[in-house]
Amino acid sequence: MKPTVASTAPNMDPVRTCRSCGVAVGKDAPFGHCPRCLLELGFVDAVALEPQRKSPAGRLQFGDYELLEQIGRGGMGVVYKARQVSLNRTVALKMVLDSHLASPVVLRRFLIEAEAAAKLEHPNIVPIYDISEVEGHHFFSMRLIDGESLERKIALGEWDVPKRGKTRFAGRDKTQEKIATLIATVARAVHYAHERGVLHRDLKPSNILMDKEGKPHLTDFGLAKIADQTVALTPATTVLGTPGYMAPEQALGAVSQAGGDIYSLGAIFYELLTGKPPFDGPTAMEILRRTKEEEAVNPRRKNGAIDDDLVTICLKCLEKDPAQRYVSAQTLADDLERWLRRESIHARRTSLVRRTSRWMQRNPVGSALIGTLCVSLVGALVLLDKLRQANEVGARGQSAALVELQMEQFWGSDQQMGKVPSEKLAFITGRRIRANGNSIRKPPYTMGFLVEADPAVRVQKFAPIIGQIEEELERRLGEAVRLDLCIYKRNEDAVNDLALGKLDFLRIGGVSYLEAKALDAGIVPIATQAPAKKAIIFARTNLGIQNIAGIKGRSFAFGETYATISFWAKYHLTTNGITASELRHYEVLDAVSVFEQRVRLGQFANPALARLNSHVEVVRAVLENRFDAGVASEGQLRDALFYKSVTPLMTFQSTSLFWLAGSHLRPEVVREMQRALIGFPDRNLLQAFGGTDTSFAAVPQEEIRALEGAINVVGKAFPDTSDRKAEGDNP
Amino acid sequence: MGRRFELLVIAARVPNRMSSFAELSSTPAGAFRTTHWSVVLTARDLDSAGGERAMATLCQEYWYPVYAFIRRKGKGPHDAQDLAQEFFHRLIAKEFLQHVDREKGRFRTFLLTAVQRFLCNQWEHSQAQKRGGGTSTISWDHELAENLYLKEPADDSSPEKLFDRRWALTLLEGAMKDLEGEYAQAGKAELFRALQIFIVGEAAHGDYAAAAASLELTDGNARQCVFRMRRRYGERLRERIRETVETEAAVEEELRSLYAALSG
Repeated sequence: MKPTVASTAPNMDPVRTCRSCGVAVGKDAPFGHCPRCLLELGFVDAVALEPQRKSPAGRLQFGDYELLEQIGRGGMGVVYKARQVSLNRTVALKMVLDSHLASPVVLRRFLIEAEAAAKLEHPNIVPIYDISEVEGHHFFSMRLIDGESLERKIALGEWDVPKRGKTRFAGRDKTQEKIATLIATVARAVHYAHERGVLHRDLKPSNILMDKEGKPHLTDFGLAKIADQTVALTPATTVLGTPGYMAPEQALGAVSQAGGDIYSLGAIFYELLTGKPPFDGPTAMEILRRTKEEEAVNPRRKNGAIDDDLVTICLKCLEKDPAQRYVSAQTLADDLERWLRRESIHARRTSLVRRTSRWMQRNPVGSALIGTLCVSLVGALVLLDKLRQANEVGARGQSAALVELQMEQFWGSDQQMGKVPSEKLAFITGRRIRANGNSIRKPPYTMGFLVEADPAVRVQKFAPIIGQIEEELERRLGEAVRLDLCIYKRNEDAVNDLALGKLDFLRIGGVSYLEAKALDAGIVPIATQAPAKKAIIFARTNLGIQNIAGIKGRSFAFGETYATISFWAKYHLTTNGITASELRHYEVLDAVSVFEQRVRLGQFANPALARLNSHVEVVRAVLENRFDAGVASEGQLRDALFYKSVTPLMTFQSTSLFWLAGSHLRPEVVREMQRALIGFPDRNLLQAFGGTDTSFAAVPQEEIRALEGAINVVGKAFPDTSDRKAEGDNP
Repeated sequence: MGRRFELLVIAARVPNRMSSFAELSSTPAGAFRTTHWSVVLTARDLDSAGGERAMATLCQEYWYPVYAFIRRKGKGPHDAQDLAQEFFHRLIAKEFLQHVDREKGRFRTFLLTAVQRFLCNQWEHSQAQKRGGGTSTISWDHELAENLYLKEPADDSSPEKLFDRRWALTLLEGAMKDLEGEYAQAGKAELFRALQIFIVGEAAHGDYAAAAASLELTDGNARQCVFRMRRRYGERLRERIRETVETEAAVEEELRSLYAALSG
């Protein structure tokens, strides 16, 4: 490599480029070595991976592969150009450092993800040939792409959009068209993977390889975070990926969704347009903070030559709220292609209402007063918008839109319960309203559900099942039946309504069932909904706690009082010798109260999309150093475990969900409801109630006995559980 | 690198503890180890001289990143010298230690936060404070410091970035010197000189043969020696990092942070 002198820095030493990793190496390099490569030697096993044997040809041998040369490195892995001897083909071989797959959980997840990624066959995705291990070292081989990464291309200035000048006006040019084509191509590849259930999770320019023809090839699908985590963050936030390209919800530790990849596409798009990712800062934490709190600067302010519509498309990908982004990578690609064909794009500029509400969200105190003045206006605008939408989509859609609106209003209000009557449910599913069936004159039965987020989506999912149960009950009872759906935020409200006879049926967790039984002994469990959730007691990894005994003297966060998972966590802690007095401090995080307070303060841009899951709060509280340890379901911890920012200390099974019937119901109604549930025919429909393997069963008495046995233990060890009622009475 | 700087670095090195890597990795991850930094943290509430000594040892090692940070903050060479001296003096007098958040406590992040805080409050003290109490706690060659600083890239990277980058380079350089010392002590100085160019795998394959020939080794033996050298370097590097963090797990975290700092 020819040495180059940076002309802008007269007092800077000449630099050369490292032949191994491609970074600039200054004259101040320790002993003349590339500092980054030197540092890598410090990672455990970095050297152990070096092959020790040679093939007959004198090359370094690694299983079926001959390593020809090292072509790249990530923080956690080395990539070689290699020859696969048995097939006589040249491949890229990526080692995954053992230290990165230390726990069996991570290893298992790595293998699952790698297998899913290996099934992807797309011209713009680098195919994975082989996932294997040699002498305990895991690696995967993939097609060798002859070219350079987009990161390098950007650094070389190959994608710079010409600035606006005297002869140059704003609007499209060749470079912008090239950028739009690239993002559209990449987005189509991402969509292809999404359709097959594979998320990338770490899209960034260095994961896009450009071949000699200028075609992009995506690499490291789903694997990037394990194999190439080059970014360091503070221990508490290792859950995060590459700042600058990561969606704000990922920054908050949420489970990655397709929207996260779309955000990352937007960030790459933004970088191509402006030369820098949307948020920059001196430290990773600062970038993350900005990602969460600030709006990206309009690219046109950085370069006035950028086309307005491209800016609109780009900023739509970068919306803080995933629901405001493109619904899929495909719709993003479609819009870009519309732009390329000079058709009008579908994305719209952010409205004044939304910008205002986002401003209010970021400036809660200052906006409180203005907020009060504006609230009615904003509400009216939102309503008008909804009605306009409703008009556009016809009667069925109209009903669905109105239900959606109603649910959103309920979710953002202090109301305890949102009800969707039977005939509206019928509208949503397209069922006919039967003359004697779900007629409005017949007094309805009501069925209650606790919901943590997306009430409108839940209603749409539940509607067909409720409809089926309704028909089944009608057939069995031989009389007209209406079944209304009631959505609750708080366990205690639902339990109270059931005990007071305002609600007929309720699906709820085990601890709440005991509470209901205490209020009204006539409430009966008619079915359980398996499988029960798996839960994990965990501690923040940087504390070095290795087992449950290590929690002694630490702080611990539980989900809200009624959460069954937290209840069992208390039980298991107690049986392991850790009671309240053994903990330095513990707290029950009441997510609903926090949620309602924030709604009142107008802190959500769109309360209808906010979540109130208390165990997510627990994970967040531990990651943010507010607590040392906590408990959450396996699903909620998935990402945090994956990135090893938390250490699992104990896994246990919670109790299945209970379906309860009120004591005021006629015995035959209870009996037939029970039969309707247990004999529920359509397993596919049931998925909406909780995953692929959900099923109903008769209530096992031992499960109830176990709960009742445990409540005494827990009540003594963690006094707050026995004060549940007092807490419920004083919100 | 100037002579005085080198001497200081070597003088400040702790006598090598005889812990081999195998022993270290057999300690459960996260187990508490006695390091300079943990000594400082443990001693902060006690009036112990051990804590001060440990802090002084650490500061002597990493004074340059602090100096570069203060310079990049816009202070002139003379002010920077005075401020850095004043800062280290107060640091060793435990002035900032109460701010250490034990859970996040890495010496690097602590030092950066402390110097930031120091510069913010410095104007309040600039009139009233007498310097140093008569003793200069940390010593370095002022001319050398400024010469080093003038060679820093004149880019727009922030003082924080520069600090982290300088820190990483100081650490890497120190570990190379440790390794060089280790080879010299074992009478293998020549081997080190001939083979250290291969340590990061940048050299072309052909170069091996020449180096092996000069040492009268076979090509294969020379490669083995390089692998061993790489492994030893990794260990020395981890030993140095271990001195600035509390737990074994934090070593890995710190490596990742520094990797990011060097990646730009």
